[in-house]
Amino acid sequence: MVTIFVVITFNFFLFRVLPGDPAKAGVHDPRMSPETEAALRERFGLDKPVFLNFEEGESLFDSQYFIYLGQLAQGDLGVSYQYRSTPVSELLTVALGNTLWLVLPAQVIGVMMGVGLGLAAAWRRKSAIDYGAVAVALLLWSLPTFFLGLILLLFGAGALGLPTGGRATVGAEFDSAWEAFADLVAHLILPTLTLALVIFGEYVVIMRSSVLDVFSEDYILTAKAKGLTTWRIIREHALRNAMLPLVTLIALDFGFVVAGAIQTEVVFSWPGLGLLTVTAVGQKDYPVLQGTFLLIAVVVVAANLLADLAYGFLDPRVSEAQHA
Amino acid sequence: MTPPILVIDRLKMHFPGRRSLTDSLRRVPDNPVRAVDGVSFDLAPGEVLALVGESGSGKTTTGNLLLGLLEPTGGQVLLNGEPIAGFSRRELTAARKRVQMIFQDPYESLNPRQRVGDIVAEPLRIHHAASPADIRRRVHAALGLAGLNPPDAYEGRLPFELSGGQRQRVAIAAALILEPQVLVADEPVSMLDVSIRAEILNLIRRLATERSIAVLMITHDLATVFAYADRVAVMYLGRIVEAGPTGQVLADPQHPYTRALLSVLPVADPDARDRASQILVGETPDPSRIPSGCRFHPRCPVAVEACRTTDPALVQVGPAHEAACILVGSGPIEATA
Amino acid sequence: MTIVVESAAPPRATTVRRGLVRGVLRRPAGIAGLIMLGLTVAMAVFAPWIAPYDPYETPPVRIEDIYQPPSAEHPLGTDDGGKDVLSQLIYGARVSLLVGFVAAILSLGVGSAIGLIAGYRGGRLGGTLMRITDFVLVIPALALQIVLVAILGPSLTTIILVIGLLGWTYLARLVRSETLSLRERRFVTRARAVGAGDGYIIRHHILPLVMPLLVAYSVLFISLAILEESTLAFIGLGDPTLISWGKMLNFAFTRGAVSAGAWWAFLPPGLAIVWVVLSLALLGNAIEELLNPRLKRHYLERDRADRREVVDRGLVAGVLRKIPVGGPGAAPEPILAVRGLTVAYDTPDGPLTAVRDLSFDLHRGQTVGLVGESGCGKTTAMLAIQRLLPPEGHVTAGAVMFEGTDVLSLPEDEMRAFRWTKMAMVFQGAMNALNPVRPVGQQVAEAIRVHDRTISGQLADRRAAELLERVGIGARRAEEYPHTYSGGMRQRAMIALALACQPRVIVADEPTTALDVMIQAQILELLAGLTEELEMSTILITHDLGVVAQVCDEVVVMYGGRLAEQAAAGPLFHDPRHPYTTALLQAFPDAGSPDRALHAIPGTPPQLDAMPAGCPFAPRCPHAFARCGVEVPPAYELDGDRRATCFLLDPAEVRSR
Repeated sequence: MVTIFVVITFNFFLFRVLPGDPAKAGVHDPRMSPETEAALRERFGLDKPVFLNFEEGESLFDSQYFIYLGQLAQGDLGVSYQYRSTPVSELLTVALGNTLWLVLPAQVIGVMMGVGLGLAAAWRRKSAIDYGAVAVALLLWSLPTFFLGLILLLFGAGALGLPTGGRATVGAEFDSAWEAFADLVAHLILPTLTLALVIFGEYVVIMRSSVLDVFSEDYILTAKAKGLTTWRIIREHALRNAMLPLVTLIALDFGFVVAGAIQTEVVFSWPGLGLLTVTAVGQKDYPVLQGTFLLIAVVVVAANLLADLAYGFLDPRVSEAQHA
Repeated sequence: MTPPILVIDRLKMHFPGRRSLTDSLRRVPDNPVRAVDGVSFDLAPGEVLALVGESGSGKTTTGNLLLGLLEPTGGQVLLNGEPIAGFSRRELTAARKRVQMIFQDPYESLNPRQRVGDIVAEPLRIHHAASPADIRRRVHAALGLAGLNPPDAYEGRLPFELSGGQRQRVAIAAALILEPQVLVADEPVSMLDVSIRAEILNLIRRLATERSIAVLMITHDLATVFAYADRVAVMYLGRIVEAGPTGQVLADPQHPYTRALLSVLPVADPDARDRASQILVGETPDPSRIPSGCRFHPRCPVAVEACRTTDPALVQVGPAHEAACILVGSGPIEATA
Repeated sequence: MTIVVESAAPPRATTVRRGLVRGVLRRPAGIAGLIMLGLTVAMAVFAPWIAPYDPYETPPVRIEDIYQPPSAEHPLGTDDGGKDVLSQLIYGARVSLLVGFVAAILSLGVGSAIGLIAGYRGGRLGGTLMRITDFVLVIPALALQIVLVAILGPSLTTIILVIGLLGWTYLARLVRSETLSLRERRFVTRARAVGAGDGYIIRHHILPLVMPLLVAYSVLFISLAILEESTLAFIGLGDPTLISWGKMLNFAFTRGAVSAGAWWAFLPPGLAIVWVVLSLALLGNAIEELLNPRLKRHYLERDRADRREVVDRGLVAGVLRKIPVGGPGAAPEPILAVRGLTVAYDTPDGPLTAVRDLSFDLHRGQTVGLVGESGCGKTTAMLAIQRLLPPEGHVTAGAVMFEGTDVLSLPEDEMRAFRWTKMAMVFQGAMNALNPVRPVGQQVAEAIRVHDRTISGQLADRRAAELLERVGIGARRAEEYPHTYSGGMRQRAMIALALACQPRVIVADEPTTALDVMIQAQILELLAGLTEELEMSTILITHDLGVVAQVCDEVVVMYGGRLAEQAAAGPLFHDPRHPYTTALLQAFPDAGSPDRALHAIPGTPPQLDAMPAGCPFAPRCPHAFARCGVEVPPAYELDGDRRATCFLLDPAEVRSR
């Protein structure tokens, strides 16, 4: 909770205090008369003190920072410069939805495949599977996400005839919801694959080393001595212990996934948060940039909180320590 | 007898108890961990005193207090008659030269990346006590004294190239180089193979006698004490429950705890298997929950009603032999059992 | 715990600590990485001499030059501005490597400094630093980088600073936890007790040990920085005045190279990034392997094929019938008979024999003690008879007969059924031998259910609770996890677990080591009582002769992987025949005669890779003579069903003396 508040404050200062004063830049236009500019500044509240208002007769909290907090509390993130009439919150809602469509399936597919192959590689250490898995993971790690996307784009568009960008076929009329959905899926295949591959490569490595650590634990020997089948040892004794560090990582890596998503969205013109961020940068649309950054940061922080809770739930040692 | 070089006077070390937020809110009384709870003894030059106790008895904490690694919450440590608590920084540094230690685990107590010569020279370098040539000479002397001969063969080695016994000798050499007056040896042999324990113990004994070093040997194993300690002090839950000359304590233990400890010691005779050993029930309680009265009474095989309420002090039971039990001196213990 | 690792794992090569550089050069991945990286660095340094054109020159653009496919003139074709791709590629290496190295140095410096301070100082300062670190850690780096570069303007300095100053968090956490654990190490305590200041300790004890971590991470950081720079450039936030691989890709992507099919405009820069990052990843992997060797144990690797040299079962059985170990007068049929057991570990320098030609019998209701110093092969032998050796270890000769069954040739499923029902083990270090995330009772119940499917889950739970009750743990603690138990309790739980399937034989590996004397006595009493009551046979592995004297009927003394002496307990203690047994007895403090001086055995036990040619004990033996140095003594059968492997007992030697 504290972290989220810090993120909000950090976000405010990032955009108001840094050199270049983007908030003013958004208002300032050389063609504008000083009067218009002053009026605009007043409208956006830029004439007020930044943090605390020490002017006499004014409330201490009549400042940019507290106005920002107040607006935030109402879900008001200002309006986009780029699309003058659209509130930022509206843009964000749409973009977040699109990003989730991309990230969630990719994360699920990537993690599951990575965990599976990582487990297999560790179990059959020094076998063809193991060497193959490590090689694939190394290669995927070395490929910049956007470059992987470009290659898939070239291949997918050329050989498979899949759509290369956007969320839906432009100008297409659909007879049924089902067709619209199929069109959406077709557009999703390549970006999802890109992101899933990146995530997959990472989890192969993490899972492999985590499982190798667990396999060298004495309680695995105990389980073997007890006469358990190998599969049962893995299921009952190795998997849960090996997954523990992964739980934290899945959340910590959310930032990594976000980075992957930004690149993927740019390559495939997928209208999510990433593409919105990048276009906002190009258009110097600071309210939008501020909004996307805030939203991404808050989502990631929240994911970390969830992971901490999950870890405490899964590992009895941690939950005891918290109670003590 | 020579005057003691080290006097420990009613030393106490109470760590604040761990309290959760809810405990504080509910005003649950704070239970400090009474690791050391009023310990007194003294140590003369050339003497080996064994401080014996199980885990949780406070023996290691006592050792750390002597080394100045912890600030006692009560009582004092007198070095050459002066309380070290009153020392200035400079005096404390000087005092540290006089009190050195050897740790339990020679694998842990040596920096894996330092060469033997540097490990042994380190105390000199820290105290800027010698010139480089002098350092080398003294390192060689210390290695030789610790039985690592010839010193040249050892000074360039890394710890992993040495056996456990050799590592412990390196630790001893590093402790000797400042020519200390007091040596605190915390379980110096418990991580070593039985077959080489005797050589380390012999070395420590010889150093004490020949160089008049006062040795405090902290150990959980009464068996290692027999031939090496002049005096024994048995600790239980932060207190000394019995102390006296080794021979006397072994031959005629007074405190029921000492008796029990002695009774479970291994005897190299399978025929003596059926000798009556008094295996105590349960485990040493948590030092944050010390029982009322005599702290040993819940596990004591001969406890009487009064033990629940009376906290016995050490009483004289023989020449220089003391025990803290209300039953001693009032007739044979067996009679009440 | 350390003892189990030492004896059950193959011996560590004494050359573990080679120089880092030499270590990397010994690995193919390391060499490949270094060469690939070296080539790239050379390309960047010598760019002006290698590149066919100067990409920073802007000649007038001619339509026919745009997106020209590779030709002799332009080996990698031209881009949207008609410029030579190869030249840009070569110059691009400069930006990538510069950003990579400088940003990595920044990250390393900030991260290690913050980690060191937070770990060493702790307290409020450390706490605050860690809070800041955790905060920066959770902020998605790329999003923040985009925002910062967008606000500050994309210059090379900004990019380096932004990448470098955001990448340190993970390292700071690692360095902190490393420092925290180093701070508690004994050698730091010792330095502090001697009077060393913080600066001294950090310089001499902390930094040298944190250094390898920094080296490993520097490689990772360089590759991360290169990836991040290219990503920023790709989304249009590169320094507009410089050519970089990311920017080449940006231009190719935004200016229609993909739709124009001009693969040469974006494949080369992309592959260049892959090349550099891959080289660093290979290098990093080699360093990581070197610092954190995982060649350790792997308990689930597939069983190797039976590599015994003696495969003729008839012969094995014949050997068994003809030469009963205890001589003709011994009890008829042992429950467990070990014959000629030989175990070797595979190491990079060839196989090392850890146990050689070990034979002994275990009879019904008997307790046999297996005694010896650490590293003498006790644990290895016991793991071998249960086929629980780590994958590097295998039985090369010998037989293990359990009630007439050759255990070593049982098929896998029969072996599984054999385990725990016939023979169970009490492991040393119960903390590690119990699964930390399963309640103790559940682990006991699991063993019961696995071997008898007809038992319901509830019944198994109840039985587990009863067993725990029986070993002195309240049944209600069955629901609790191992970490809530004390050391003694865990060992009791381990015993309850071993009893789960009412095995005929229990192997107890140092069950009392590392426990307090009183707890030791409790555990031994419990174990002895239970085995008698349940009529089980026990093999007790120990280095403590006191324990042996207390509970064993028969004793097998091992030295250097071989049998030294085997005898009934009484005769062994009263009249040892092997000089090693005598020496052990003299080194052991005996409460029965406290005034006796102890004598250590000079020297150390032999390393597996440096086994003496003759009798393994000869170098430490006070009675050794010429023959002992060249010839391995066989086991001489002595009166009273005992054997010892010493030439002093050879009738020929006895006569000649």
